[in-house]
Amino acid sequence: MDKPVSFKRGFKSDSEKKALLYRDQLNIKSTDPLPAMLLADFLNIRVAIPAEVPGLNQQMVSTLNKCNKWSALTMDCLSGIRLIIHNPSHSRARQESNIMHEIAHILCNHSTPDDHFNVEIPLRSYNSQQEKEAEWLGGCLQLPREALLWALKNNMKESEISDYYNASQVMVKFRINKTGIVHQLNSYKNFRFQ
Amino acid sequence: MLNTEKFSSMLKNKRGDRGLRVIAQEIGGVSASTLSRIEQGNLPDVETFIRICKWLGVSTEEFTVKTDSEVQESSKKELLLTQLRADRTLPQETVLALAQMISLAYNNIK
Repeated sequence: MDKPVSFKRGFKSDSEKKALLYRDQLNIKSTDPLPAMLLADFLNIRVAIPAEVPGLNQQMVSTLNKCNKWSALTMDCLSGIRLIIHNPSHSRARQESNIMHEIAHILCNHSTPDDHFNVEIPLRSYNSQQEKEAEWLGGCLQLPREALLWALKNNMKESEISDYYNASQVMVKFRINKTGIVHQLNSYKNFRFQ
Repeated sequence: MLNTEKFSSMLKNKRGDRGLRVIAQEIGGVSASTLSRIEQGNLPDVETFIRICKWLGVSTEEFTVKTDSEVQESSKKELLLTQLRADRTLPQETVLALAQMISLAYNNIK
């Protein structure tokens, strides 16, 4: 069984700050969506799909596009380019989440442990601490607390928030639950009417 | 590449007629459904692969097969891949395609 994951002190608030900082640096309002491709470009991260990899034959492209069991990978190229390749067969919202999740891994400086054996094939290596950190940061980047608060104050439904921020409804629910925003809004309402 | 045929058959042989759940508990950290997919020839993730090798009492190298020089050339002693987001098991053809794609991307993306 994996040990329960706990975040480093300050990780959650730093993640929220990063989400707002990048929006500010890209001249995007704190309550606006931040497209993953725009952020990747800003961070000098190349994003591609299998069909865009030079030399990959059509059969391999087709095999990868037909398989929904892989989402994305991050790698460093000989040229020094940091590259994310993602699965274009996933829904738009899931692609957005996949790319943002990989960006989050990069921002957290996550890497594969050195003590793993070097097999020349891509096998998934799951580090639960790293995955939880990337999940949290990726979620913040897509849906910062400030943006969620604005959306809920403006009576946006979960499906509308999902469409507006190009996030899955699962992600929207996750962020609403984990940020405690509904509780905050209810307190605000109580305060107003006292 | 991983010799998945050898890997899955050693797993099946040692399991014998015991149930997948029993074996999953023995191995630890892996589900019965993951074991079933591996026995069908799907490739496991790194941690599952290591756990099963330990349970089988063999080294991980027992199942590694040298492939074409293009993959070897580009990966050498380095781990090219920083992250792979995928299911716990993947079909072999997908892994082969991913390997090819990674090798080509490594050399050709400029």
